[in-house]
Amino acid sequence: MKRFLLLARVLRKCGKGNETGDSQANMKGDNTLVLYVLGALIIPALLFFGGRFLGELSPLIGGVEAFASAVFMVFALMTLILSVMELLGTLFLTSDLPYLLSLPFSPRQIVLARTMNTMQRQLIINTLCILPFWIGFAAGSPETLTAGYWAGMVLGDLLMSVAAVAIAAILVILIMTVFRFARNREVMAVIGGLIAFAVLIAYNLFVRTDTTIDSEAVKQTAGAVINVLKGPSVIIPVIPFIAKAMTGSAPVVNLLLAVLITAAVCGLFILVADRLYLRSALNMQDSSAKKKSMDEKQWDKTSRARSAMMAYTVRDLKCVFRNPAYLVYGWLLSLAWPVLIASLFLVGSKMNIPLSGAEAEGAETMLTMLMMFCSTAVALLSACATTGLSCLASSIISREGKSFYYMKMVPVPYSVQVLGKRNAALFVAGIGSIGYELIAGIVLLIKGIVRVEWFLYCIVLTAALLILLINLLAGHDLKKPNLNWDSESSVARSNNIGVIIWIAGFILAAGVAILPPVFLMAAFMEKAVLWSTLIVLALLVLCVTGAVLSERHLYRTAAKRLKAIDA
Amino acid sequence: MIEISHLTKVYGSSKVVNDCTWEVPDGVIMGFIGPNGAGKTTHLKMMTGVLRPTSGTVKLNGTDIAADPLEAKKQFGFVSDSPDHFLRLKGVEYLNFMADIYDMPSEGRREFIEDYAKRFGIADALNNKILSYSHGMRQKIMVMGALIHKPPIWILDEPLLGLDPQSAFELKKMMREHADAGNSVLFSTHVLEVAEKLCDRIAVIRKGEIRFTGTLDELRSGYPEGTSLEDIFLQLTGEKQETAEPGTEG
Repeated sequence: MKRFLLLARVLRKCGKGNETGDSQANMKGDNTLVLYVLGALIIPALLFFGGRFLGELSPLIGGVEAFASAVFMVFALMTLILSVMELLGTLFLTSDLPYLLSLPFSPRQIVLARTMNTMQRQLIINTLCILPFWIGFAAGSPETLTAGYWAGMVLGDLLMSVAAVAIAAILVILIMTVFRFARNREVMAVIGGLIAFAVLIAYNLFVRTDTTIDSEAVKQTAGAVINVLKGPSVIIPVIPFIAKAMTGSAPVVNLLLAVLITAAVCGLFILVADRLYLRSALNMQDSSAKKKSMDEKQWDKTSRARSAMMAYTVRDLKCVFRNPAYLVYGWLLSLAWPVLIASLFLVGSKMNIPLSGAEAEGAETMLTMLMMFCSTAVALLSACATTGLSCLASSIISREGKSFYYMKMVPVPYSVQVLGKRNAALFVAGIGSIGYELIAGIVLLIKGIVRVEWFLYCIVLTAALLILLINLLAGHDLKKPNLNWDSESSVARSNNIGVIIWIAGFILAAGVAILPPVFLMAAFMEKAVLWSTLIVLALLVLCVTGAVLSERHLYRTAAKRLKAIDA
Repeated sequence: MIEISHLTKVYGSSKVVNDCTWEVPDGVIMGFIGPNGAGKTTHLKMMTGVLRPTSGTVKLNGTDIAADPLEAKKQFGFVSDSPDHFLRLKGVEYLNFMADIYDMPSEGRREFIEDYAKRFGIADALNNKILSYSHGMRQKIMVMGALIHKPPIWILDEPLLGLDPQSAFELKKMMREHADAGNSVLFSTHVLEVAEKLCDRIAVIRKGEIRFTGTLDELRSGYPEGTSLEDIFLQLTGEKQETAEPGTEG
């Protein structure tokens, strides 16, 4: 037992700050401390107020037991997803397994030590989230308090966290046993993310059919959401019993049952770990690849001479598309904002907004306003995608890592190299934004919300935003690249790209929120169309000018900045 | 020919390379020998334009790398001590990328790749990603990438590390042929036997200073007959005395 605890402690220290267990932590020093402190203060405070708000609305919610199940399920799903990501890394993708096995540790001890560390981290996160929420809920709705409420809340936090992580570990071991080809944590995450995205879209398109907005509809919608969320609680079987205990139905019996179920889940986890872990984990260490011969066509294609700039662009594109870390931190993150904004449209369409303004009074003005709002929203939506994918530009030099010296020793001007790499980032970002642009634009064109000229306007605006953003991020990375990394995931997330994506997303979303009132004001003026057009044109001129200036700036400074970097 | 004149590199208060002046003449294989941390890699990085010297010049076939970097960089092919680069590219893609960088025409690329891949025994792995290669295979593909533009000067940092005996033999043969054709080969190594058998001249560096340049016979002439190259090297680099004195840092 002493050795086991020692192993857990050493593994925890080795993997601190990095769930893949690599030697390089993602964040260090004061930044980490500040983020932890802010997170530990702000998130619980927000959850407390959120809980209180929902407590006050509890009469609208209906059954509190179902609500408690739904809330625990949300946290359980979050724990499950985070744990699956982390355990895929620590149990299967770290390179220290053969070394650990050569030491006097059994596979069971190794897998338990690693899982225990994940459990500890998740428990801390959940405690910071669940307790403030339920305390807030109790403050907002004192009448729901029962004898088992507080005990259920505390035990629920503990048991749900333990059960969710144990289930995540079982899932990970089973997945890696069945899908032996899936050697990459990121590939699994991409597949999971795409499925989640498809489910979300399908749910929004086909399940929700309410079209009016009144208190009865809110009640029905809330009920439907709660039902959907508490539905999967069968995956984490302790949740129904905790919810019952909290809302007063035989709290002692239900809590006891929850404890027993958690123990059973942990037992199952140990059984699975004993039987399946070692074989599937050792399978991951095998890195041999099947030899593929070259045919004439391939020879012709690969041996065709290219310019140096094109060579850099093509090489970067190949590296990026073959690097799953960029699929996760580029594509997946970029999905979040368009989904959010698209859901605003979906919600909007259910609020009986007169999208076909012809029926309303002042139809022309209303139509103009909506047209502009929607077109600008399309542009901003595309820009969100751009922001997400621009993590390529933000690591334009950093991702060279130890290979950076090549850039210094080859006889190609520095500016050509940088522009070649920038073009690759621009191309990939373009795929994302044009994709979103086309989907949203075509839908809006078919619905008659926008005209073709507005659609084209949005494309130009997006292109300008794209160039501006990519050039700024590339310039930033050129100034201070991080060449000393040993994990592709960490460099894909370098330069605080996650924070940049979310902040940019917030600004853009705020832009969406601010623009309609501006157009509305214009609509009430006598020369509504003129004013609206002027505003929209000013935005276009601003973005295009910014793009041109950023292009000039990057071209002029790239060589100087690259020369200044010592490998 | 490589001409190094008063080359110095200073990091903060530490002189990593200190006023070194030496040359690698045409038609010779020059071994670059020194203990770990002596300044070999820093030297090579300054010679290839990766690092900027604090002072001094490096001329490659008469072209100063600081004054005309693009022309100077066309003169050499460089193999680094670590072959873990461009791992997401396939072997053949990496080689063509290097050919594009050095502005090589399409004609002749395939012949070069097939010939060298055959000599190194990696012909059937060219269509696989470098990520799946063993250390030795990565080293071979990096050597091929460095030589694809047929540079007159070869600068190789520990090129034989990780190569199997057949490939090491091939590379040594290629180095000999290249030097015999009137070109320059500079390679760093820790293996004294290799230096003894392969090099026409050697340069010994210690703590950033060149301690000796010349032929092996010239080196031996300064020591009693029968002294092994290993003993000479240890005395020259000061490691023998220092290891004999506990508490002295090597």
